[in-house]
Amino acid sequence: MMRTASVTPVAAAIELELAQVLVEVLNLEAPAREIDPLLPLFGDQGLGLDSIDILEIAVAVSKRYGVQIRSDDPDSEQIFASLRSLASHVAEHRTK
Amino acid sequence: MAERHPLLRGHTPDSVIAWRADTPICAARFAAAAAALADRLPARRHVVNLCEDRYAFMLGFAASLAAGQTTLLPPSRAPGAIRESCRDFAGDVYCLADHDEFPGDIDAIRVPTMAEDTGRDAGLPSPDAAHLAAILFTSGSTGKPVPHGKTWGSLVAGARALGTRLGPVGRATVIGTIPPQHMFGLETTIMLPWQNGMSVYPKRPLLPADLDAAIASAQTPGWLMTSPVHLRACIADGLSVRGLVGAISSTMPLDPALARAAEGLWDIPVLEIYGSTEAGMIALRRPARDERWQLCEGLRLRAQGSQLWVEGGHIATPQQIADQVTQQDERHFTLDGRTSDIIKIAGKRTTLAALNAALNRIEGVQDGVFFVPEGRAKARLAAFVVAPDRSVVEIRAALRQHVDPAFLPRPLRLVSRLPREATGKIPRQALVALAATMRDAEYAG
Repeated sequence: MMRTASVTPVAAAIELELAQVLVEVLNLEAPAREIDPLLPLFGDQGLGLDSIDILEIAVAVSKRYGVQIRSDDPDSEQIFASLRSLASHVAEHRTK
Repeated sequence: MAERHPLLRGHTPDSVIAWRADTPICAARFAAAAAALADRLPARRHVVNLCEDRYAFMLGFAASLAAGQTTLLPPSRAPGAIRESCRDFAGDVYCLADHDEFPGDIDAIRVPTMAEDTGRDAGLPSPDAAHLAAILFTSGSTGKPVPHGKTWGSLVAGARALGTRLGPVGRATVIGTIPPQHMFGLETTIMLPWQNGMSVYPKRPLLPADLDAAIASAQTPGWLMTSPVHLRACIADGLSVRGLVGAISSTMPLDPALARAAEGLWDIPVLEIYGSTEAGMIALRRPARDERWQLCEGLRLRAQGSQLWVEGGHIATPQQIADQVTQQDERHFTLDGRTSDIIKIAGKRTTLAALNAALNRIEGVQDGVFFVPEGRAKARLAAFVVAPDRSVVEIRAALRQHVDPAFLPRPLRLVSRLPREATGKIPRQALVALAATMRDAEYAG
């Protein structure tokens, strides 16, 4: 899976780590390296995640990177739009 | 002479009924807003309350009771489930919502999420105890949701019994992760605060950081009404919850080890309710201390052959107990395991029969079966489907119309045929083997 040059190496690394988290935590069918980082997380045209999945992701992200996410945050829809946007948010706010 | 119960008990016109953005809404303002909404309701006997915001739901429920209506609560937000729940009331139903995601073919009234300050001096209804306040639905194996009527009297009795069990709660705030359309949500986040002088936090804190914010904004001690899924996530997150004085879990079994971890971390009692949509609350326990359940006030267990029934108190008609039970004495019992194919994931409930029926009704699906994978407690359901002309995405999208997202299979595998025996049954071992074969094929390829 091509990772575009517009992503910094740090964010790209987090993307792959997060893809691995998604696969493990959510019982996804595809291997981590095959998850398109721009695919929507929600909806049938994307990864098809629901609110319980988001809960699992939020806990994993908090434990691993020290990033707390609130679902009523006005940015949360954007944060959870895709793997790339999630990785970018984590890269910016990580405390671990 | 008909017995009536006021909507609120333990409240005064000035007592807080809900919090909105840190601002208290008092009972008098709630009464005025409910009366104003009641004036706008169509003259129909049934209303589907789809409000997401707990205060909006309350306004809608109160207004519909004032108008003598019955509130329908579908088993999920899936459009198919909503339509099927309304089917028997066609022509005599409309819906209340505070958002736009409901089937377009049902008339809808928008519930304002800000309480309108009408300045109107209004009382709240005192519905007749025999009034059919609500009909809750469970998923049926024929695709048609099964209705369970709740009279106002039975809802009030349940709320008072629970309030008595909790002890003095003062002006505590109820914070819930469960939707008010679910029996546990209706009992603990609407009826309990209404009948015991408590207030309500309007949003559903889905993430640990949300719960943190909810407790901070509550301004009075909080009672958390939640499920093991959210409890586990909060504990895993190491969330501290100064400001909570108690928690109640329900909708799926709470592991006593998780309850102990929560009590250790939060230093509050973590209670658990055993109940069902059919019966409401049946028993209560504190799993960190005692694995035994204590039957609720006024209820009795009765064995009839090999089947156990619960009756009395707030239970309108005797209900079967779906679990294997060992009774220690008249009021105490332990649960030993399931006797049916009930599936519970993330606080939602259905049966394998209902899921399989929904799957096999999808156009293009020749044969299909849901499968509970071995191992991990939080694993999703899997499904094997024979559908030569359809894709996984299409089938999942079709399922989503009728089935709660919690039960959507992950993975959904297309196969050429299912390992059915001559009797038509599929032995579990055959599915376990099929799953293993497909997994191995993936790793090899």
